[in-house]
Amino acid sequence: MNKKASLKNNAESANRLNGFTFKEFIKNNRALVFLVLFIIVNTAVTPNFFQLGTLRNLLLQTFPVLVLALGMTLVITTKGIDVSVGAVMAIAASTTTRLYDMGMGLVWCILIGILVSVLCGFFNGFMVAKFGIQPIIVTLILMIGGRGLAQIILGELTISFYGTPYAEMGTYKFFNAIPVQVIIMLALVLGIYFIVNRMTIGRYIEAVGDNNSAARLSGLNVSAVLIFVYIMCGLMAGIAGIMEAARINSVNAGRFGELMELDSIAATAIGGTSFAGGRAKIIGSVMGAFIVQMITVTVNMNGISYNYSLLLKALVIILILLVQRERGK
Amino acid sequence: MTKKAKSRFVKGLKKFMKSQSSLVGFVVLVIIASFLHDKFFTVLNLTNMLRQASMIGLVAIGMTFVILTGGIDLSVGATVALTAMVATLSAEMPIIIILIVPLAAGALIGLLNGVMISRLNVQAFIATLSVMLLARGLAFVISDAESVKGVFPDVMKQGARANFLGIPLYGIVFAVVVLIAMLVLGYTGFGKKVYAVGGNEEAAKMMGIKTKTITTLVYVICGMLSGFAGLLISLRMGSALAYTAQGWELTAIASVVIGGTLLTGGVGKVSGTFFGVMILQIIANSINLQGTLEYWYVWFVTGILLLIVILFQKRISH
Repeated sequence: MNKKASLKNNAESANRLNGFTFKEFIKNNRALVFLVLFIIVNTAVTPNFFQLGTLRNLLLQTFPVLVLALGMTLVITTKGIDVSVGAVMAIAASTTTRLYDMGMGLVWCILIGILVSVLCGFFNGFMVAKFGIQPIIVTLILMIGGRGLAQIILGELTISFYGTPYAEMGTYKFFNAIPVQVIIMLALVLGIYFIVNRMTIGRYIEAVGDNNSAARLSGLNVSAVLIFVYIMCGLMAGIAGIMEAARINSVNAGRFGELMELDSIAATAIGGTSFAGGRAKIIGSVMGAFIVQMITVTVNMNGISYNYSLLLKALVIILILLVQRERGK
Repeated sequence: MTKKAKSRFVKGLKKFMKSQSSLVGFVVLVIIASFLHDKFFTVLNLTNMLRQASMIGLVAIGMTFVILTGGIDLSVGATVALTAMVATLSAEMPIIIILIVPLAAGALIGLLNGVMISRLNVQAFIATLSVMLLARGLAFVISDAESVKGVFPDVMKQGARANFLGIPLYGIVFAVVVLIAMLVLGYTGFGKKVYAVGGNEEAAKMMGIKTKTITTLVYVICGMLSGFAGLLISLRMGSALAYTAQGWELTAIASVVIGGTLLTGGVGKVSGTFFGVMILQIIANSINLQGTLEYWYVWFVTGILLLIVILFQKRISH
């Protein structure tokens, strides 16, 4: 008996690396469990799943959702929400594409597109922080109005730019193997992770979400923090929009980035960032984005009719939400 | 006019603008639109507008209930699509069944929303988002992304096009639902509880209100009215598509906000939503009549209008 107990103790202390147990780790990283589960299921079910081409496609397709989810995580951590990201993607892509179509240099087009997306984020942040309007209304305004604005900027229903340097940028591969999106994705994940976990602004963001008035009373510039997170969210939408436009060689402002806000919000929720605010789970959101996208890939690659993909996505999200739900309390 | 009387007049005007801002906006828009387009104030155009407004209007009325409790329902558009499909599939059955099935289906979807939100403590936004995907997905699976056709009884087909004293039957149905909703919210215990839950859920709980039941019920009402809208659409079309009513959740929420209901819950009116629906309809109609402006200007103008309304509300409430 004694031996058994001591063995158990040993096992526990082994698990207690860095001060947390294996059980706690699982509890805090349920999204990881789901991701692993998903990969196992896919390996068993989906033909050719573990091939370079498949994985590269998965990474490429996950790119916009993942990048959006990074910004969304910051916003949701402050108890906010940003439903305008899909429209901002369209605005940024339309701006860059229209300017490029008019013959401006590619670098300038991209810079101006990014600037416009930052302005969109600033608009959201300013209205939320300075006017005290609910995030969902402010971003809803931009979601509806921005879609129209994107069309007005683009000027036509669709602009294609197949074969131009702009399009080549979207399919560029480092060493003929690593898509440019993967590098950008890695850089952004590391950057945002660093901001949240290693910089003071990260603490401020969580403080605002945790207790807005306490943060204000302790002398924190809450408005500046809020404006910062919405600008970051707009910036992410801009990057996602321009890169996605480059990848698919054309922009249709009415459809571009449609429903992306929902996918990125779902990814963030699956990743375990609570809507009650206060705790940003960047890596969780990354895994959430892969889970959301992998559902579509699984459906496509198994020859299941596309009609089932929405249904499957809904069921997975509901299932994960139900498993995650106690955590918010 | 003495100074005092004048200031009282200004105060009264301000109060009126505050309580009836959506009515004022509606009247102003009607006047502008009538001057801009000769065709606007014709019987044909007005009846068409009313008929179109009636379907999205039913959804917006349901949304008003949800938003009054501080919630939100993103699944309404998908519910309209799914219930329209269900109605079309049951077109050969007795009339009473055709009437009941889509409403029941809508109510069931609403119940799913309500239970997830009130009993399982999932955020309204994310719960209704997943139900939106679920309902839209079901519509796609049932129809295989094809148009589903159904032959409705002649009485119903005629009803969809019928006018009563020059007013479309759909418009009358909408008006009746608006009146019932106003009565329910204004003069019943249930209505008062809806406002109480939205105003302060903790306080409502302490007063002994079954907040979870009220929350569930508003989503059921919203789902049922979306089902009603689905029925009306399917009768009018004689067919159903899985893509139907895409983006209606946005239009419905926008109508409610323009109607002066606060998204924080507890404050708002069905009559405001009615005018909100009509305002958005007039904007779409004017841009349509203009002829040279593309349809996407509707979104742009709606966004600008929402912004103005929100800033106006903020100024007045200070």
